[in-house]
Amino acid sequence: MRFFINTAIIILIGLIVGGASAYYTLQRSHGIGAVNAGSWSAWPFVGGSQVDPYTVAKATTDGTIHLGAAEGLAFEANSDQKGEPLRRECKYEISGNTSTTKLWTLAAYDTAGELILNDTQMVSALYSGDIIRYPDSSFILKMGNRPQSGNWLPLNGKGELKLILRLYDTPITSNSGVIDPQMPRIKLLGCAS
Amino acid sequence: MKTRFIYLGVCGILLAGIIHITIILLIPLLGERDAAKQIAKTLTTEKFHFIGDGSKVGISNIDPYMKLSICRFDLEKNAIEIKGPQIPTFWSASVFNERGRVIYSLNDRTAIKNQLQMVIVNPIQMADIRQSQPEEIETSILVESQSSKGFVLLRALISDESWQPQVLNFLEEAHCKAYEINTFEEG
Repeated sequence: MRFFINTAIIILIGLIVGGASAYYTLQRSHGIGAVNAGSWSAWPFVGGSQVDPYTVAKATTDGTIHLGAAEGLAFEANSDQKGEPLRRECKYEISGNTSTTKLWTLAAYDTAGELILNDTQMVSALYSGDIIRYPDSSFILKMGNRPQSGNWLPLNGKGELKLILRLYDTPITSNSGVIDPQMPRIKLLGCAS
Repeated sequence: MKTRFIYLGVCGILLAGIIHITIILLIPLLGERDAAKQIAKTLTTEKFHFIGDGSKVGISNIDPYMKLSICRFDLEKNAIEIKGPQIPTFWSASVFNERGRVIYSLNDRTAIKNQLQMVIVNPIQMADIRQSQPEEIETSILVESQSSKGFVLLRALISDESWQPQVLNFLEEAHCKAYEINTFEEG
């Protein structure tokens, strides 16, 4: 009898700790195999053949098709610069610049990986060519559910969100540039209560 | 009593490690959200299928500014030739194996004369091409694939609505067809 209780306890600990740790490592954005820049993480080797099992598992659960090295690199962020999760009911300021790239697109997704649409069915996304910049090519954009002057990434609804900034035709994938990529900061401005 | 709990805890943690590793390794084999599996299931070979933003074939985290076209190939029978018209917007293409790993990728700037033109071959066909040196190869990029099955994903940027007709035309005009290698007869 005691043997069975012991076995049951071992199996219970194993399932809970093993399952939870596997789930947690895949959910975390700053995961194994990632290149990080502030709140942003990218998996430059995800499409290649020399890739670790964690990155492969994450790619499968995400259901995405990855960018080849010559195509570009996608950076994900699901927290602001202080590490707080990004929320759809809050207002943020995204400022700075990206690493050298021909163009980039920024889009906001819900937790299931679907694009966020605002009240007028407008997709919550921006293209680098439509951005107003400072003379030094840096930019500031506001993200929130109320219209903003300047660059505005519309949000709506409630809950957590994920940003993906994709750099297309960027030299950072081809050489050592992935070691220290430059990405904009995400600052929380306030939340609607 | 105390040693019993330590013993159980250590055994539990060991089992947890095994379960953790098993889960991580099994996800790619059993995962159903894998976009490469969806593509292999739904699309026919040797033809570019315009799939819009990709959501129809189960691709999530789509980029709203990119439109996609996919051609599946099987090199078992023949090599595959891929050609696209010239277009002044950003486009890129990646060759994937059946497990969804990138074998080769290029963009409009790295392509020869900014034009999509490539031939995908398996190692045997590569040897044949080296022997016969066909003319078309001079302007095409040769991609050698170790796995015979896979797909080519072509994406093009639509920065605003006015690009829509031109980009759709590019993605639909692009062709993906069997490529015959003329091998010299012995003697």
